[in-house]
Amino acid sequence: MGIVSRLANPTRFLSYSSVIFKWSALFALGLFAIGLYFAFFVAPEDYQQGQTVRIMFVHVPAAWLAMFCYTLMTVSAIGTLVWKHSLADVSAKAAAPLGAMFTFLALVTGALWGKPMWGTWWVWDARLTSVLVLFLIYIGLIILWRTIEEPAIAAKTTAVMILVGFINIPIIKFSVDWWNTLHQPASVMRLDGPTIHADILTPLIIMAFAYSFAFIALHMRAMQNEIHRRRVRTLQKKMAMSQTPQAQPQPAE
Amino acid sequence: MLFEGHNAYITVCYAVTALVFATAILWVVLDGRAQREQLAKLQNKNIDEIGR
Repeated sequence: MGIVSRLANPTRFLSYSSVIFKWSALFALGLFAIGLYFAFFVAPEDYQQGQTVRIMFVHVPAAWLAMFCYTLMTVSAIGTLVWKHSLADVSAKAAAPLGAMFTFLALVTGALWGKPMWGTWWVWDARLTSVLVLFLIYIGLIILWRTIEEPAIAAKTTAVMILVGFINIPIIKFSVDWWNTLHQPASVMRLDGPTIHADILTPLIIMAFAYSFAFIALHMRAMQNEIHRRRVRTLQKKMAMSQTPQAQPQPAE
Repeated sequence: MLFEGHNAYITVCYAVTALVFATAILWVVLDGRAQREQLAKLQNKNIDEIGR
């Protein structure tokens, strides 16, 4: 825990997170360029879906990141409750809008893929509904952080809510196995290996890494912003206290 | 091809993705700038008050 404690120092975090941000942003840009080239010029059309299969390269990584982001928030929530480290709450709070963003992307691109393939934008099946629930959980958590004024209470309350909400992640993952859904079953993360041809799997994996590095870069910046926001709050509080006239001791009667 | 003519769905998908990513980048950049400016202003004010 020694190294973790040293790295979790907010001032130290601000310096090394800038380096992580720079490299992650560079990797993300490079991987997006390669991934998009593969997606449009190398990957063949699907024998059934035709060109529409190219929606997969933006939809599937968004769905993976939506779940990964929540898992990261759950780990951070454990950090808040067990070690009471303020940086753990900073991490979770900064990740929530990004998780909501990826979930929103998964829902919208999924609807845009569903209309030409299934003939409908939306269906209340287990996979789609559980992802919508994830989006609502993200929004609820963001509102909760903003509603509770005292940061320490907000951190504990949201951490508990994050842990409760984590039940939805395995439900999303296994919804296509447990229930009869319109959504196709897993075709990449399977025990017996991916069922997608390498020509289509390669751009998908590249785009997944591009999304991941983009998330890391955005998360680092959002965490830095949150640390600055807390310093502003602390300083404002300190200055307000110093300007309040001290209570004068009353002479004894 | 059976599903030709769905280019509009693909275009909108990629456009929405680009727009959402651009919004997220703009959000972290603008929020970061606002927080740093406010922090610098408060630190300067605090230094002035201590110096007085």
